[in-house]
Amino acid sequence: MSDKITSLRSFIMALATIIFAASLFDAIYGFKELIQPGISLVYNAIGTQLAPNMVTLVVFDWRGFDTLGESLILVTAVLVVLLVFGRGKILDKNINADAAASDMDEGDDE
Amino acid sequence: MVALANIVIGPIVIALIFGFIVGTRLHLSEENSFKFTIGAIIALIVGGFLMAYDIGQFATYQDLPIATVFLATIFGVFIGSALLGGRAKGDH
Amino acid sequence: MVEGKKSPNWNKDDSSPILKIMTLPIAIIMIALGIMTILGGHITPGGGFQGGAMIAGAIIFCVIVYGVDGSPIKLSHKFINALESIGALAYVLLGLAGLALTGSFLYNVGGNLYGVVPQAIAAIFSYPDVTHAGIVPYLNIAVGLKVFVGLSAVVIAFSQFKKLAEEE
Repeated sequence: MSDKITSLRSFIMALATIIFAASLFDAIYGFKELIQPGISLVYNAIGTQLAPNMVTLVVFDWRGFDTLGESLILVTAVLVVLLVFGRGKILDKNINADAAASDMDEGDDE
Repeated sequence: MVALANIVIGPIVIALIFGFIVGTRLHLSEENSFKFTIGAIIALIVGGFLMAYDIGQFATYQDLPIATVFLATIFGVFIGSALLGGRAKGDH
Repeated sequence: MVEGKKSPNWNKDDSSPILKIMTLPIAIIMIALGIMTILGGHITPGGGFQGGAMIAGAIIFCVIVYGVDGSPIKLSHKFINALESIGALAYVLLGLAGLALTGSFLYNVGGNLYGVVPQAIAAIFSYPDVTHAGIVPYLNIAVGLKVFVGLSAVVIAFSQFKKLAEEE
């Protein structure tokens, strides 16, 4: 009985792999004709009117929205590190320390 | 573009501000670290001049033959540390 | 700084006098190099992320050598909070300026390649430099602030967890 189920699972897995591989190869086969580098060529031509460094221009000017999400990933990573490993203890302690420090000396800097 | 006698001022001002921000957290007279006396600050600034001359015309490549942004940052760090650095409260 | 024949005190929280003397000047030089990398991001290789990582490297260096409590560069919770918020808000607000003026988010208002924005408004957003980079250096600065504070916060937090575990 269990052999039958295992063989059935193996068959389904093999079928799914074949379908996936066939569609992937079909996509790769005509891929060269699908690529149209039009806007990339245009931007490479006119981008250096802004600044000489083309990498920074692509990252910050042409794909600036991408970079916004990419830099928000770092915020999320820091947040998750503090949440998971600290479980809020660091946060509570520092808020208390800040509050105590600002209570001690008011009228100073900050 | 603000230029004063072939020196581009904008990046220098921004470097001073940025260095000031970082320098406000720098305690130059911490107990267990390097004691920054006046001589040490002067020595570091002279070393900064040497480094800036070796870096070359970094920021815009057409003004002075030293990296003005680098020097401005060092000055900004020291100014910020001298004004606010010893008194920053709420340490980590 | 090391007087007489007194041998250094080798407890585990204390590092070598050589490291203690050399670290702070090197950290200041590293901070200067990082800020230089950020501000030259549109001309030379590098940019906001790389320069911010260099500044964070200087702070991590100080934290490792001097310990968290004795570190000469102390980043408070308020400071980390403020710089992270300023970096993210500056990026989004520069994007919204492009959205308000031209209709497309993060349009380079200062560079103004297509000439959509009036010249007076474009002059406000352009970086005072020999190039016409527009808002690209400002985005570099915003990302640099965020990365510098974020990477430092992770290391400072990790170096505090041991202390918290010992307290309990």
